[in-house]
Amino acid sequence: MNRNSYTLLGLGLIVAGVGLIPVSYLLLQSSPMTALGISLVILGAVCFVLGRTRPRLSPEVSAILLETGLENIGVILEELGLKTKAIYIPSSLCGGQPRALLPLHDNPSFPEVRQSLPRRLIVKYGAQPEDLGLLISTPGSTAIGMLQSKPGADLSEIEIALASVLQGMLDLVDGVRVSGNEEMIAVHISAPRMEYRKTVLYDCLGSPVASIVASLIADALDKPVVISSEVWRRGNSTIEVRVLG
Amino acid sequence: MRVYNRYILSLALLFTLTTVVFALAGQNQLDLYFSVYLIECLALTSLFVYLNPRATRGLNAIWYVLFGGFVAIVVMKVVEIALGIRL
Repeated sequence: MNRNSYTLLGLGLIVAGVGLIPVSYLLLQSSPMTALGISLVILGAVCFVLGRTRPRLSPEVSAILLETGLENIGVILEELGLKTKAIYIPSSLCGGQPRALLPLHDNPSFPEVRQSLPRRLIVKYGAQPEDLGLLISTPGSTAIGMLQSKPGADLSEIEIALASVLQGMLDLVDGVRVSGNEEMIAVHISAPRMEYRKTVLYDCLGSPVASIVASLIADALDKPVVISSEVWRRGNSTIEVRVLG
Repeated sequence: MRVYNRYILSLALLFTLTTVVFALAGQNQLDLYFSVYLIECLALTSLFVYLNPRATRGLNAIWYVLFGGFVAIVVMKVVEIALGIRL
């Protein structure tokens, strides 16, 4: 339903309820019917309020913006021939927003990022001359800004924060469950609305859902993380995030 | 928004069940219906913790109004008992 539908439904229910209450109470003298009228008014008010809180941009516009942004990043990665896994850096090391670092050279082990990185596209993250990488914003970088406060490092707090963003605000998934330990965190996603695509972009950065998960976990733990694996099976997804440092 | 649709449908279902059960039980006290509706609204909103903050704030405004009505009902009942009159 679009925004206007909720508002119209709410107004219709309120009008129906307001009409039913006096008729039931005075003419029919029926308490259950009067109570039904009251429930219609309450339900109408709920629909009206929910209609006013829906985002202004239609889902189609949001999809266009997302696809365009992802395609541009994908083209850059393909042109540079990058196949490295992105390291999700917490906002404390990135100047206020979690970002993904893509090292420009292949390395069997993930680099340690301990210093604050400048807000530039190409950054030097280590002491060696070849320690250069792309520092880019991802869907996770923006989605974290929707939270009112930074989640704690506890797994239950991470689960609540992820459900709040993915389920409540973005309506991207049906459920979120988090398990794991200090080194590896597994996030089980029920019925994600976005499909996984076999592209260079998704191989490096993960799917948009995985990107949001990794960004949030990195911020919650205040440590860089990497998407270790992303498995899609029977309409559900399991994202494993490895904690670095 | 699927979560909104689920919320509205759950609330509608709860209200319908409550009304039908109370009607079958021959319940004629409107304040009882109202009180149970309010409890159901508050409980359901607590279960749907993942609604976005704007929606939660809007719903809380409705619940404040309903709670005010509940308090008015309680006050009327107390006055009826205290003064021995029927309002």
